[in-house]
Amino acid sequence: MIGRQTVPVAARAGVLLSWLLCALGLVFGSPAVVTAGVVALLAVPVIFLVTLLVESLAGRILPTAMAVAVLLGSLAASLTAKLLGVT
Amino acid sequence: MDLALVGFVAGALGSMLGVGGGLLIVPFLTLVHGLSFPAAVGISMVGVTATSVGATGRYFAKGLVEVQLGLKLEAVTVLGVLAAEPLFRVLPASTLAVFFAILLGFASWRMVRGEPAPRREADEPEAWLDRRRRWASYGVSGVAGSVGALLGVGGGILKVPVLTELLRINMHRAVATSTFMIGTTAAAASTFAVLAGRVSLHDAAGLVLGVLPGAMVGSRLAPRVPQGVLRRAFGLLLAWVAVMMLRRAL
Repeated sequence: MIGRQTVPVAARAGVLLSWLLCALGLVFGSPAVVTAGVVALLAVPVIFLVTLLVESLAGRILPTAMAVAVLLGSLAASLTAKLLGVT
Repeated sequence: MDLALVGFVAGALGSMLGVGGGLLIVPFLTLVHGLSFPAAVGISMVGVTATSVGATGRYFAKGLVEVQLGLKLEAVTVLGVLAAEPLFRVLPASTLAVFFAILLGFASWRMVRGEPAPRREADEPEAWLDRRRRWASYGVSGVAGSVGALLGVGGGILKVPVLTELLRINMHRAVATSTFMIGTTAAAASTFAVLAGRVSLHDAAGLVLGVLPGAMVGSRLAPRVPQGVLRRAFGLLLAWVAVMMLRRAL
C-alpha cells in the first residue's frame, strides 16, 4: 500500500517536533516557539500529501530520507512563519 | 492544563471514531472558557489537525487507509465547500439544517441497527466497488461538503457514513481513512484562521499538547475494538448531532 512505510515516519517526526515546540513555548512563555510548534503541526498534513505524491510518482522512498525531509520542512515552515511575522 | 486534558480525551475519541474531536472541543471552549464561536472553531480546527496527525501514522502502518478513494472523496468535498455560497442564497439555513438532520438521523439508524459491512482486504483494487455506489458517494460527499460548510458541521461526521453505508467499507478502514482525510481540510482551515488572527496560539498549543498523545492512544485502541461497537457508538454520536441540529433549526 502506498505510504505504508513513509507516512508513519513523517507522522512520528511531525508529532515529536510540534509537541516539543508547543511544550517548550508554553513552559518558557515564548510566543515565537509556540507559533513554530503550531505551524510545524499544520505543515504535517501537507507533508503527508507531498510524500504520497512523490512516492506514487517515484516509487519507494527511503524512510530515513523522508524523516530528514520532514524535519527540515517543518523547521523551514516555522522559520517562514516567524519571518512573515505571524507571531 | 484543562485544555490539555480535554484535548487528550477529544484526540482519543476523535481518532477512534474518525471525527477529529471538534464536537467535544468547541462546546468546551465556548461554555467553559467563554470564547466566541468563531474563536472556538479556529482553535478546534488546530485540534482536529492534531488528531489527524497523531493517528494517521499508526493507521497507515496498519494498512487501514484507503488512500486513492479518500483523496477522490476529499476533492469532491472541497468542491462542495466552494459551492456552498451559491447554495446558501437559494435555500435558507434552517431548511438545510432540517434536511441535514434527517440525513444524519437516517445514517444513525443504519449504523445502530444495520449489519457490519463486509470486510475488505488491504491493497484490494477499487474495481470491487459498484459504479453506482461510487458515483453516489461522490454526490453525497459534494452535497455534504456544501451543507456542512454552511452549518459548521464537517469532518468525519459526514465521511464515515459515506464510507461505511454507501461504499460498504468496514468500520476500521472507514475510521482510518476519515482520520487521514480530515487532516488536510482542517490544516487548510486552521491556516486561514491563524492568518486571520482568529486563533489564540497559546490556547491552541495547550490543546495540541493533549490531543497528540490522545490521538496516538486512540489509534492504537481503535483496531482492537469490535466493528459493531464502533458502529453503534458512531451511530449514537450521529443521532446526538442530528438532535442538536434540529433544536437549533426549529
